[in-house]
This record gives sequence, structure tokens and C-alpha cells, in this order.
Amino acid sequence: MTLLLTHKERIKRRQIIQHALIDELSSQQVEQAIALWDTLFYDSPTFVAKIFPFTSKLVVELNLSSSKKLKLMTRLMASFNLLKDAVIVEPVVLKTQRKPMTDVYIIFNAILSEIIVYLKQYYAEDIPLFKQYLIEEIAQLALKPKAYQELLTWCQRIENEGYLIHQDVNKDQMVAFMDFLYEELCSMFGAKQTDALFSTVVNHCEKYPEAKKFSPHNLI
Amino acid sequence: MDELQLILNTLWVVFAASLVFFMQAGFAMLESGMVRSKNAVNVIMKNYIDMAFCSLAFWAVGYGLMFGANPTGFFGTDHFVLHDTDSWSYTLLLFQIMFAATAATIVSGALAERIRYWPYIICAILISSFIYPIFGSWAWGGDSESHTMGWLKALGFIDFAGSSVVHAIGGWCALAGVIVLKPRLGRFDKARARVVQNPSKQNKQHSIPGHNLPLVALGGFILWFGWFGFNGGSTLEANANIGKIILNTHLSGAAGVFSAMLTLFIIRKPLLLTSAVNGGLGGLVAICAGCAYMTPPFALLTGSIAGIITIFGSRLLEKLRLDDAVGAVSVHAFAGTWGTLAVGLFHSEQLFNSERLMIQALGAGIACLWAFSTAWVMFTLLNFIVKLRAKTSDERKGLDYSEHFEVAYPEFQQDLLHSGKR
Repeated sequence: MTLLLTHKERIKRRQIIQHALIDELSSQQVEQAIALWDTLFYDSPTFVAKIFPFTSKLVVELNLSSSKKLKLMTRLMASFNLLKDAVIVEPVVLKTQRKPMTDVYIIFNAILSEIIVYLKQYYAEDIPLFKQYLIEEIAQLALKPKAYQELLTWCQRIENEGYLIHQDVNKDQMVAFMDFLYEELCSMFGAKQTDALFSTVVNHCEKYPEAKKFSPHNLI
Repeated sequence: MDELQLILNTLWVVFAASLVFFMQAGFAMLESGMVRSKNAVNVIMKNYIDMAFCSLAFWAVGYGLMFGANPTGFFGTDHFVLHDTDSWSYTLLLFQIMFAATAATIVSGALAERIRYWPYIICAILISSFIYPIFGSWAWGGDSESHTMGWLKALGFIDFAGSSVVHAIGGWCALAGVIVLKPRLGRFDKARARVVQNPSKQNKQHSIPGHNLPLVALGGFILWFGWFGFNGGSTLEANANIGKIILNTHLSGAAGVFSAMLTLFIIRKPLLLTSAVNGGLGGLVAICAGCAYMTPPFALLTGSIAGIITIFGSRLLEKLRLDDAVGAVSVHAFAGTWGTLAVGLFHSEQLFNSERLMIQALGAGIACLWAFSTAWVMFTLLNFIVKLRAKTSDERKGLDYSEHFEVAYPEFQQDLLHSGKR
């Protein structure tokens, strides 16, 4: 049975696409993108899963570069996840199409993911509060608006699962964020538990090939 | 003094000084065992540097301030960089250097796991060359022959081996440092939004257990052993009273352990090794002031009360959200103050002498006022100028790695070793 979207839901999705693309494309290109969406995916209930085909079509239609494609996809993913009813899935990005990520970024993602897995396993009831603290803290990090949005999105997704889909966070900001995470986790669970968690996370991250070039301990 | 007596005195005091020196090893073991493994090297490095730097500072400045000619009663004015004197004075200098290093090292444990290394060394040098010797000059300085005594000593203040002069001074300095430096991350819950959301978690505290309790026990034993030299050597002569002094010391330490355990049992708390060790140390600290003037039963009573004080002192600090990593404040400041008062109560010449008690209370109060206020100013100024507190990222990694770039247990801390550049 096909799940039909209400008019309100459709309008909301169009607005999200418009807001997500407005920084990356000209107003004329945004209009073209909306038209493309309406043509191909107007009634699609599997909203997030359509991001990859939509972006691929858009790139061909507007003759955009592959790096631009990644940026568009990142923006769309981040914006879509703000929807409470959005189905959270990993971005469907082929490995060859990814912009090469820095070692710092990969390890940072791994650290955060490990922390979330741990929290979900042992302290699920504290996650909403933790999320609230994170969102407060992120506002203090003096990030670029784009990076801020991405990090905020990651925090919104904490209750599900998440990877930070952005590279525009520099190492110092990541370290500052790690400091904040450590302080908050210490405050919530005590130093003993937090030390154990961070130690586990470091050991886990050492298994990444990138860790040979960039040690997770430079972040943790 | 005939030649033989001089030789015997020298032998005894030098031996006692060696025992007091060995106490530094006890402090190092005790403190490093009570902290997490990632800070073990840092704590031992602080103890090691205390011994070296504080000895030099005390020799250069502190000894003169403390034991130099004291015309005003407030500080000594000569004997700085003492290098041309008689053999007995050298012996006394050696013994007093060990005391000064002990006073400074008390602070290191309380501030463990979050104070930066170089700023700490500055603090230790200032304590051993200024804060400790100034109060020492009031209580121990000068002599009656030249009528240039320290003002407290002139009043009749008694502190035989330093319950106040050494331990309480170190303990109050530690308290000032604990307040300025703030708790370790994760020691207490943050008092903010979570409290509103979940009042049951208000003022929640998390204990941070030490990484090696056998080391703590070994440190306790070494300190106890060293204390025989600390108190016994304070006679500054080989005489027949040494046996009683050391017996009193031992009984007080034993009573401290017993009463601490009994207290824990009565208040239905687990019988912790750390509490037993601190209870014993509390008893040993408390008896310093009166070990030469009390009969053994009163030494036992003094130690018993000190053991109880260490338990409730620690709990009081926790309630006040003050993070003393090793319990130094309750052991040295609180028990030291009690020991000073106990001389007024249990002096064998006359028990419960109110006049003596008032003088002892004055001395203990002055020790608190002097050490806490000067140390607070020192810590605050240093914190403002050079930042005492380690960065969060360094506290996360541990001060072994961030301050010294080496770790205590490399086999178990592989991730740190693999990290390459800092």
C-alpha cells in the first residue's frame, strides 16, 4: 500500500530542500531543483532514501562538479534529519564519490560514534539531557554557520545513530568539543566510567588505518 | 656537652633525619596509589621534586627565617645559606630540611591529578621557604638563652614535633589549594540544569578510586616507620625519653586505625583500606605535638579521636564539594589541629589546664589563619599569572603524559605510547 503524503508534509519537504540548497546554488538553480523534486519524488514517502538519486539527477541537470554534489548531499542530509518524522539512514554515498576526508575527521567521527553506542548501552535515560548540553555547548564553539548546522544535526540525531557529515570543523574545535564531552560525561557518570569509556574509544580508534597517520590521542 | 654525648646526639638525629627522609617515599607511594594510573608519575615526580627543591630553598632562605636570630619574635634574620658553622648546627640543619620538605609535600597529594607541574613547584618552594618557616619561627624559633624566642613559643605554645608547625601548616595550605584549584573533573556533579530536571541527583558525587591500593598500604607502613624518626628525632638528643616518645607515636597511630575502623562500622560504611591508612596517619599527626608530654593512655586517646576526625573531616569536605584527592586536609590540618589542642588537655604535668589549652588553641588558630590566608593568596596569584589548573585535554590524557611525556605502566597504556607526537 502506498503511503501518500499530506499537502502539509509536501510543502514542508519543499521548504527544507529550498533552505538546504540556498547557500550552495543560485536562486534560479534552486527553482530548478524544486521543480526536479516535484517531478520525480513529489509523492515519495521514503524521503531520505531519495536524497542520493535526487542529488545525482540534480548534478546532471545543473552540470555541477562532484565536490558540489557532496556538499549538496551533506546539506540535504543535515536538513532532512531535522524533521522529526524523517527516517534516519546513513547517507548513500559511494566511496569513490566521497570527497577525501581528513584523518582527523574520520577519527573524530569514530570517537563520537563509539561514545553514542556506549551511552545507548549503559545510560540511555541520560541521553536527552546529554543532547541538551551538547546543543548548548555547540553554540559556544564559534563555528562557521555551516559547520554549526551540521554539528547541531548530529546532536539531534544522537538518540538514533549518527555520523557527523561535515569536514568544516577544524582540529582545535574538535579538541574543544572533546573537552566538553569529557567534562559532561565526567559530570554525569563520574571520572572512573568516563576514563574507561575514553580509553576504550582510543583503543577502538587505533584500529582505523587513519590512526596510523593521525593518532586518536591527539583528540582524546 | 661532652664529646660522647655529642656523637650520640649526632648519630641519633642523623638517623632520625634519614627516617624522615624515607617518609618522602611513603608519601610518594601513598599518593600515587590513591590517584589514577594516568597520574602516578606526576604525583611521584612532585614528591621527588619537593625533596630536592624544597631542601635547597629551605637551606637558602627558610632555615634562616625559622631558626636565625629572632629579635622581633616574628622571623629569623641570619643563618641564610648556612655554610660556616659548627658540626651540631649542620646536624640540626639536616634534620630541619627534612621537616620542611615534609610540610611542602603534604600539599602535593591534595592537589593531585589537576595541578600543572611547574606552577606546583613554585608553590612548594614558596611554602618551604616562606609560609612554613615563618610560622615555625613563631613556634620554634630563637632560644631562651638569648631572649629572642618566637612569640608563640614565648607564650608557652607547645608543639613538640610539629602537629601544627609541620602538618597543620601543610594541611591548611592544601585546603587553600583545593579551593582555588577546584575539584577534579568528574568528582562532583555539576550543579545546573540536571538538578532542576532530576532533584535526586543534586550534589551527587563520584568517588575516584586510586589505581593501586597495595601501594597505598605500603606508603602507610613507610610513613608510620618514618614517624618514629620524625617524633623520636625531635628530642634533638639521644636520651632516655625516646622510647616513650616512639611508644606514644605508635600507640596513637594504632588507635587512629582502630577508631577509624570502628567509626566506619558504627556508621555502617565499608571498612576501606584508604580510611584505615588515613586514620592511622591522623593518629600519628595528632600525637606529634604532645608525644613527649603525654602518658601512653592519653596518647592512645589522642590518636583515637584523630582517627574519628579523619573520617568525618573527609565527609565534611565532600559535603562542601572540596576535592582533596588523598585526604590530606583531614589528616594533616584537622588531626594536626586536634593534636595541638590535645597537648593542652592531656599534658602529664597537669591535665586539662585551661590556660595551656587557650595558648594551644591560639597557636592552632594562628597556624590556620597564617597558612590558609598566605597560601590562598599564593595560589590565587599564581593561578592568575601562570594558570595552576591543567587543561581539560591534559586532565583527560593524564598528567603523566601531558606534563612528563612518560607513563607509569607502558604495558597497559599502549594507546598513549602509540600516539607519536604530543
